[in-house]
Amino acid sequence: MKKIDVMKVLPEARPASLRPADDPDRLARIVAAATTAPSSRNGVRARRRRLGLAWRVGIAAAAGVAVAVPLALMGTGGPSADPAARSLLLAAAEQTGRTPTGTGRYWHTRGANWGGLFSAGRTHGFCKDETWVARSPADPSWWVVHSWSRVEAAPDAPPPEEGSFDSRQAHFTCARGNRALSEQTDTTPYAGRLNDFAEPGSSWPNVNGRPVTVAELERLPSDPEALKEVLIGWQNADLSDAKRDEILFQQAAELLLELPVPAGARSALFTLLADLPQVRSLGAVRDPLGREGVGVAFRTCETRYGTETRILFDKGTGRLLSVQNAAGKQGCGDLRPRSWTAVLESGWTDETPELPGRS
Amino acid sequence: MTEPDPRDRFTALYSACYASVYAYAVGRAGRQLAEEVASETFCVAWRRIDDVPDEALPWLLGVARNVLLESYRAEARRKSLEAELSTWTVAEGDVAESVTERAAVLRALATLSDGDRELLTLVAWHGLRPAQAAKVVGCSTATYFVRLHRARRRLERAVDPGVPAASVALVKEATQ
Repeated sequence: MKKIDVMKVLPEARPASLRPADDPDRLARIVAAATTAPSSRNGVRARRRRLGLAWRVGIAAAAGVAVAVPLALMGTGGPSADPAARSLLLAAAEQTGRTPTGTGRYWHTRGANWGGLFSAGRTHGFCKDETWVARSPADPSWWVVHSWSRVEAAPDAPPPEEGSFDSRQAHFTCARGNRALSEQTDTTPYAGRLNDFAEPGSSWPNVNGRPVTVAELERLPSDPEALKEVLIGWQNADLSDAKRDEILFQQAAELLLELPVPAGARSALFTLLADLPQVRSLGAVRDPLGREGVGVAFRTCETRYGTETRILFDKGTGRLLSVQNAAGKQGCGDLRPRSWTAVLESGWTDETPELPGRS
Repeated sequence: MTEPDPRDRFTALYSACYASVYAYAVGRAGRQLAEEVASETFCVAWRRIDDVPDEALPWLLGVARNVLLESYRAEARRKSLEAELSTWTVAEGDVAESVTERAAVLRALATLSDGDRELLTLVAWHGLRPAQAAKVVGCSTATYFVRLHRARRRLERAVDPGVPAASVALVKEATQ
């Protein structure tokens, strides 16, 4: 075989995906974001300092729900359309469309969250948390983390994934958007701003990484095709059909789980999911908190990359229980749970959050 | 001579460098995070416009590097990057042999460590001179050349496993 001069070939192999999309409004958006910044001239480091001092209050509460979390629940399935999944999703579309969304000053969600890291001892932990998303951009949005829970992994759980996590973070974490809290370095209760856009990485709510506003969510159309157009517009350009569907599934999961989406659009999201050919049914399953529901999953298996997202919901009402993510490094042969979020309650309220450690 | 208006200077900076900062962010964290990383980098540049040197790109990439390391969960970054690397393909329209070579190099590049990939692409894809690339990763130019040499050997071995390792020490480093 002819030897390849890698340093000569490499510059010519630059992928097209490195080119940004044309966006004439981007510069104005950046300037607007930068000029609404607080007095801090060094947002990231300033935030770290604040995390280190003011927000580390209280004592970590490690007791909690003693549920054997089904870590080894990732099943198998083919890539063809699944009538069982379609039937579950269309029933949910009908049910969820009947429930009015209400209104209020804050969209409040209470649940549990696992940021996706194993510890060597087969115990595994999650945090109990709340999000308070302000309707008005002028009000602060908050993430409140109450306590940590430790649970034993199921006896048949796969061994912890080795070598793939940053060892400095190899303990219990929970996460919102791009923010994460770790049991070993942060204490609870904790309250953190979610929509302080002056601080990098703090953009929440977001849908598959794209920051969204409450106004944008409330404008989501109730026609499935129109909704699909909007969601594809939120994705990055140049995606293959399969990748596009994978991300549509993830977007729908995040929107349905815990964001203030109007009833019509919620119904349309279920219909959209029912039309994705690769969605398959998981049948009756329990969520990470042990609650009974039904589930659907979307799986992508490539040579060096495998991922599965599961949506678990209540069959009677179409209300979401949890979203779980798994990933593998060798296609789908080594899928391991990566993260999950479970919601206990969510809805609009005029109440305001009680913030631990803040007056 | 009058000082240029900071806003004009920022606009010029954005026009000249946004595409490169975005490309760097895609290579480090995938498209899912790149737009936000690049925007945050330019927010920092806006606030620190007086600190931005004339040779701005290495400075901006250094900021982007810090934004990535300090503001994103390793997990989120890794997931996004894995998705990105799985989609890298070579642009069409070339003769078959060079397409095959490029595809092989791209595939091999995706298997290297983040650090090796960064060293190799700062010069090859983002147009920096070695001294500028050294500044981005925070080492001397001499050290950069040593690390680049090792990364290049690892890339060659990933393309063609028959290429002998430079030394036992390098094999050990490559497998760490």
